[in-house]
Amino acid sequence: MKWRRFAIASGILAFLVLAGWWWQGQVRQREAWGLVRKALQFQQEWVVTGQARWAFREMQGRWVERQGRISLSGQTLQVHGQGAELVCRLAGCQLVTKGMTSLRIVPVSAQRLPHAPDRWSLLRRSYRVRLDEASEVAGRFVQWVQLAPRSPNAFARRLAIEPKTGMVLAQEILDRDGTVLSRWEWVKVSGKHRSHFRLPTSGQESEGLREGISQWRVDGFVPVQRVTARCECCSCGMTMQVIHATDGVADAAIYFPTGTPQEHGCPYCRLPQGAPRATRLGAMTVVVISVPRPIVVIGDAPSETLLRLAQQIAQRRP
Amino acid sequence: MGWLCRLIHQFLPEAAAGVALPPIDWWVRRHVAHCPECARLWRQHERLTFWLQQASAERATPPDDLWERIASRLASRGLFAPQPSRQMAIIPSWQKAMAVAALGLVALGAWLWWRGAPSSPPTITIAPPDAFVTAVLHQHIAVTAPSPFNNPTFTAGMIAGGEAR
Repeated sequence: MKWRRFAIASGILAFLVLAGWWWQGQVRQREAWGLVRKALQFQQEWVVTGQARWAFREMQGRWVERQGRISLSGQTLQVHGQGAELVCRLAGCQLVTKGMTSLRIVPVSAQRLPHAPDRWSLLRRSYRVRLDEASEVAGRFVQWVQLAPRSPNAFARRLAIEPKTGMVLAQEILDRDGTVLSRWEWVKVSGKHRSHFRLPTSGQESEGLREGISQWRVDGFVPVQRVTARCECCSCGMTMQVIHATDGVADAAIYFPTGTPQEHGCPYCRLPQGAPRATRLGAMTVVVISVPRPIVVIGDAPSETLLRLAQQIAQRRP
Repeated sequence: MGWLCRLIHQFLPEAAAGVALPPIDWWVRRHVAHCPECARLWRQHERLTFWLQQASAERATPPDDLWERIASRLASRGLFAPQPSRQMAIIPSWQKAMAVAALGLVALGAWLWWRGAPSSPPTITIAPPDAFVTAVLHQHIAVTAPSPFNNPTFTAGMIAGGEAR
């Protein structure tokens, strides 16, 4: 009888300890999700300018580091850095890159797909969150938050979020074995400006692409938007349909060349041929397939995931 | 009878026997002082404790052939057949339930592990970016520019860095 009472008392104590431990975990989870939500809202509303540093791992494993200055004059975002000169006109999101290749591709229209889930609900469904250490980035106090994918077919991320504002001051993308693939961080923040990144919207229905896209779902990636883009750097007349899919954090864009291009020497006209192949710059992976038709998938995800995405879409799309 | 009385009844035998922990003993006695029903049970336990103590003081020693006689009588009535081992039969049902639950947990864990294991990766060759890929990468900066966790600046920086190589 004595041991029975002792077992009951121990059981109650163990239950209370477990309940307390679980409750503390829940509170930390809620805090972490709150920070991520704040960061999401901040990144959607504001553009930050200042000095930044970015680094990525090459395919051969070499670590490349760069530093640059980001400024905003009127509606134009400019990036000046080692090996990168970028001018992005925010209103139409027209991109001009200097020092890379002479190329001018203009998004013509963009449509949010019907029934596309919002990014927040996708994020909650695809990732687990955990509070990591607190530190200082660009002279500001930040809390590191780790977003671990629920599926093994995506990369994990660490975000350094300023709790006061929700500004993301640094970000790391990690491979499945924990290797850092790419990292960026602000060295000095000069200011923040209202974001005007809006792709030109259109209500047009065309090429039957819209039909059935909403049902595509590969490894947690859900299509949310379709963009039509046109090459304007030559008279090749090349257009592309771009389906933008996301799992809440990572983005994958699926590019379908449409029409028959006339080769005019611009790189956009040279459609891929041969066996499936992948290219990786840090976490950004490009997968190209040419059979049954040319498709390019770019995203922050493992090449196997993007290849599956490309193959499934190639089979479904007439 | 309230929930407190039911809880007190759990600890009452130990407290009455004088072997409970001091705070439990104090708590039980305090409750018994103003609960007539528990007080009645307390007195019964006190009496029982007293009798048990008396009985243990004058414990009788059973004769050596007691067990043989009981076994032979039971066997004659067909109630008892000596068996080499009855360990499985005397395992309480709660232990069996625990064993089944543990097996179930192991099976669930194995299933989850199997389900979570990455499927065999499709074959793909790694190649440096060609002109077409580079062009699409540039377009990608514009397409993902409004995405909150994809800073176009850094995307451009990475692409430029990759091209420079």
